[in-house]
Parts: sequence; C-alpha cells; structure tokens
Amino acid sequence: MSTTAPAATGMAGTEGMTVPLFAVGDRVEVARAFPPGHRRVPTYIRGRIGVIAHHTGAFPNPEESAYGLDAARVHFYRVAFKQNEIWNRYAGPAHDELFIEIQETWLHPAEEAST
Amino acid sequence: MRKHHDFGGLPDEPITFSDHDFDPWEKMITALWVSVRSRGFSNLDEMRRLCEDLPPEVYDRGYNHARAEAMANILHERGVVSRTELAERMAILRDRIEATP
Repeated sequence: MSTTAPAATGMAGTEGMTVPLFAVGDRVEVARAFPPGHRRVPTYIRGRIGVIAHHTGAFPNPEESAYGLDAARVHFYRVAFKQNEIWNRYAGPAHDELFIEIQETWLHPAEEAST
Repeated sequence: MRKHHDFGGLPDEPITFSDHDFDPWEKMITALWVSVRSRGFSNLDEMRRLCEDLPPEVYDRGYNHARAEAMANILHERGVVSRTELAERMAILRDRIEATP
C-alpha cells in the first residue's frame, strides 16, 4: 500500500469499533507467537520491537476472511523497525528502517528501551 | 513452524530484476480470478491462504501456477466445477493443442 492511501477507505463502516490502541510514535512489540492458521506476520519480525509510524485503517481481519468467515474489522498500523536491529551484520546506514503493516491483534506495548 | 512461503530473511541468491513478461494463459488466470472474486466465490485473503497451503514444489512453480491450483480448489469446494469436469476440459484442450501443427 502506498503511503498516501487514504485511511478513510479502510475506515468505512466502523460503527461499534474500538478506538485504535496505539498512536504514532508508540513503541510496540510484535507477539512472538506461532499459532496455526493463516497468519500474515512474517516469522522474522515476530518478537521484534518497532515504532508505530502510521495508523493505516481498519480492515476485515484477514486471519478470519481467509477461511470465508464474516470477518470483524481490526486496526492496522505501519510499524517501523531499525534494519540493524532486525538483521545480523546489517551493512547499511544506521538510520535505515523496515516498514511492515501489522494488525493490532499481533502488537502489544513495548517496554521503554534500556540504555 | 515457519511455512514454506514465509522465507523473508533466509539466505538466498541475489535477486535478478527484470520486467514481467506474462504468457497469454497467465493473463487468463488473472481474468478468471477477477471473475471468481467478483461473483463472491472467494476473496483475496482466501486466495493467499490457498496458495500458501500448496506443496512447496507447486508453490515454487510461480504465482500464476499457484493461483491456478488454488482456484481449482476454490471452484471444487464451492461446487462450481467438479474435478471430473476440469479434467475432461483439460483433456479436450490438450488434444486441441497437440492437433495444432
């Protein structure tokens, strides 16, 4: 999805939806979980810590609609990860980031970084 | 367990970038998929699941091979096309192609 995609597209019909749990800038940890079924979170990012870069909208939960179910909408975020925290011996600049869209059900608040 | 399609971050060869050059049958797969989806027989998330659930040797043949196999499964499951009908139709097409000089 492009960075200019309007959130309104995904927010249609959100009556009764919960408000987004996270705001831009929040540190989040991706669940380090390996449930069976249709999961869109790549294994390499599970258990990693990133920062909310954008609330992309609310969309039918793909983990449910993948089975033809009438899926409830869930919030999605574009999450930024430091490339050199994801890959061993990453050779690029330290400010390089990796962006992945992740649904809210896979995210929880991360502890503040201890320095 | 990491599934076959979930290969992000694994060691691999450098990517060769080139323009896509689709065969006519691949364009037909896209047209067929639009029809299957627009008639409510499936959705994108289900298509992804069925592609990712294919055996690695089928998945690795490429996106349109995988989509063709996935659609055969969808249409069979929804009772739209039976496996027998599909096999019969493919036999007709095979004969026609082989008869073409």
